[in-house]
Amino acid sequence: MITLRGLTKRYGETTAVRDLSLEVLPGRVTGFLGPNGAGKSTTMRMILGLDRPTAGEALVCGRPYAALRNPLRRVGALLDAKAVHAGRSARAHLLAMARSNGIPARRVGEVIDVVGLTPVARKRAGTFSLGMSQRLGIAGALLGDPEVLLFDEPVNGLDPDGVRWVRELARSLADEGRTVLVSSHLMSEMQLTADRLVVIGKGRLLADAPIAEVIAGSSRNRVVVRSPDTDRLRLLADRLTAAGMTVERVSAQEMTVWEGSVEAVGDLAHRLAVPLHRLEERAASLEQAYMELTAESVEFGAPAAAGGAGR
Amino acid sequence: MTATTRTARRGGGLPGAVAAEWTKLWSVRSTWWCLLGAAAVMAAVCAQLAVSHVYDNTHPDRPHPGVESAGEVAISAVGLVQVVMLAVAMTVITSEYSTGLIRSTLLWTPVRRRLLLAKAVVLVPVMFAVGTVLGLLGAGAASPLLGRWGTFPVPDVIADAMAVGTYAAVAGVFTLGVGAVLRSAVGTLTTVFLVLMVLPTLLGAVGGPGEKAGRVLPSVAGDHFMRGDAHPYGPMVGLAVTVGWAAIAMLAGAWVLHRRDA
Ligand SMILES: Nc1ncnc2c1ncn2[C@@H]1O[C@H](COP(=O)(O)OP(=O)(O)O)[C@@H](O)[C@H]1O
Ligand SMILES: [Mg+2]
Repeated sequence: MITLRGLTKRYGETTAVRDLSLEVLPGRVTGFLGPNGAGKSTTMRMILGLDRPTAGEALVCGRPYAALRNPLRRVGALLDAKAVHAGRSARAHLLAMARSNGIPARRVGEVIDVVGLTPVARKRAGTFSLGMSQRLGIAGALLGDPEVLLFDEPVNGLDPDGVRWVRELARSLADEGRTVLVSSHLMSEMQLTADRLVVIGKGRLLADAPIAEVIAGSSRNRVVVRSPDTDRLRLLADRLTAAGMTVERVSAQEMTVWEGSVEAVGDLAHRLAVPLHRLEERAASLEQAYMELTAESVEFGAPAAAGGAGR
Repeated sequence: MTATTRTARRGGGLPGAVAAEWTKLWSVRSTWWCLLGAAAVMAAVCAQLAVSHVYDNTHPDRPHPGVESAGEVAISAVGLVQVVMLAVAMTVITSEYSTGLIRSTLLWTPVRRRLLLAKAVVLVPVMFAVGTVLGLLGAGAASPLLGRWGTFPVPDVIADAMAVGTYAAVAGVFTLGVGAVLRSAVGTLTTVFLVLMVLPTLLGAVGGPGEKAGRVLPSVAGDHFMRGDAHPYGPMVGLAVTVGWAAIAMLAGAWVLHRRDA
């Protein structure tokens, strides 16, 4: 379990993380989502005791990370895949790591096997591609068989097979009852991995809910109405507007209704005897829900551009 | 997971951190290159000093220093070679920052003073061995060139070499502390070079009060220790002064490591 209470980090003028309070619970994959610069990495560094919070606290297993005895056996983390010495072999890196926390040396071979680096285990880490470095980082996170796992943008640099592998790994770790926190700036990634979403923007908590709730909470859920009778359709539009919904006429025969339900629109259409050729509810995609949540908080300008980065 | 939790109290701690640092030190080639380089420079400088010693004795217009032990030549060489010798001690901490490894290391050993202590525990025996071997190597390189102007009293040379080893160990810890404060290799090298080599020469050149102030510098005190001087203070005082510098550097390093974000 990870507990954040009023966690805040300022770097000079920039507030990277602002008053973040939440709990990350075991047995599920929690997606930690936010545009670049939202403060995800900073939050993770504070959880792991690398950066000192300006205010508030971050606890893992109920204690500050640095207070854990043999922390690698409680918490595994992939932060920066390049945080290795380029001149050291993957094997020696993991061996030093194991020794530091009294982890049996045989675990090194096991995790190297799990991440598929066995053929290059004795090669210098500096010769690794980003994907291989990422796998080495994941091997390190798994080394101590920890109950809490943090992965910061784990699929960066992985090929499609690797991406799927990371997803399945996160899922199976959560299914074993572990706490799994996975960050990403891509909603598409979270959609396939996470059970629960924590969304931040400009260091602020925007949402902390199951994925379905994040979508339901979006005002982008809409109802599409089509009718051959343009006059009656206009009448329906007026009445819906009067009822507090937002109506957008797409064409003379079609309109989109926001902030309403398919039931409300259907009932009213029936009462006004509007012949309907289509009445369809369109749920916002997670991507849209995310764009909406973060639209105000995207650090560098146009949210539309960030939408393009979603692919 | 229950099994893990049950055994989680065993191992690790300072012994674990020391084992990890030991493994890290010997699993990169740069360690070996540093040591090989230091050995080559030590042999070369000792040979050079031996040649000029003979020259001084055989030319009437030069001072006539007389017969010297090969061990003393090695000690004289330390003054010039020390920065090369200390390169290993420096990289133990500065490579953490240049490679970004520090962000992994601090996950393994989050108690920062423990990490710095573990590095020192590894460095002390390693630097002692390196200094001693280099002392013997230097004496061995000087001996044949000294000819009749040199002696090789084996027990004395061994004692001299071990004095070099002791100084190397203490200066290594000093370098580690400076590195922990400054983090960058260039900054650490410059600082250590200035404090150990430039400052003594500078203050010596000033003479009088300057020279007096110079006596408290770590390399000057270390030199008195290695030579077993009785003046201006005894060898043990010299060692204590050097150890004091190392302790201050380590405390400063631990403080900075504790205060600053990784
Ligand atoms: N060491 C640092 N010094 C100054 N600013 C920083 C530092 N680390 C992060 N920041 C700033 O904090 C904000 C959050 O960054 P980060 O946590 O890396 O975001 P994310 O991981 O969500 O992309 C950014 O504005 C970034 O520029
Ligand atoms: Mg990041």
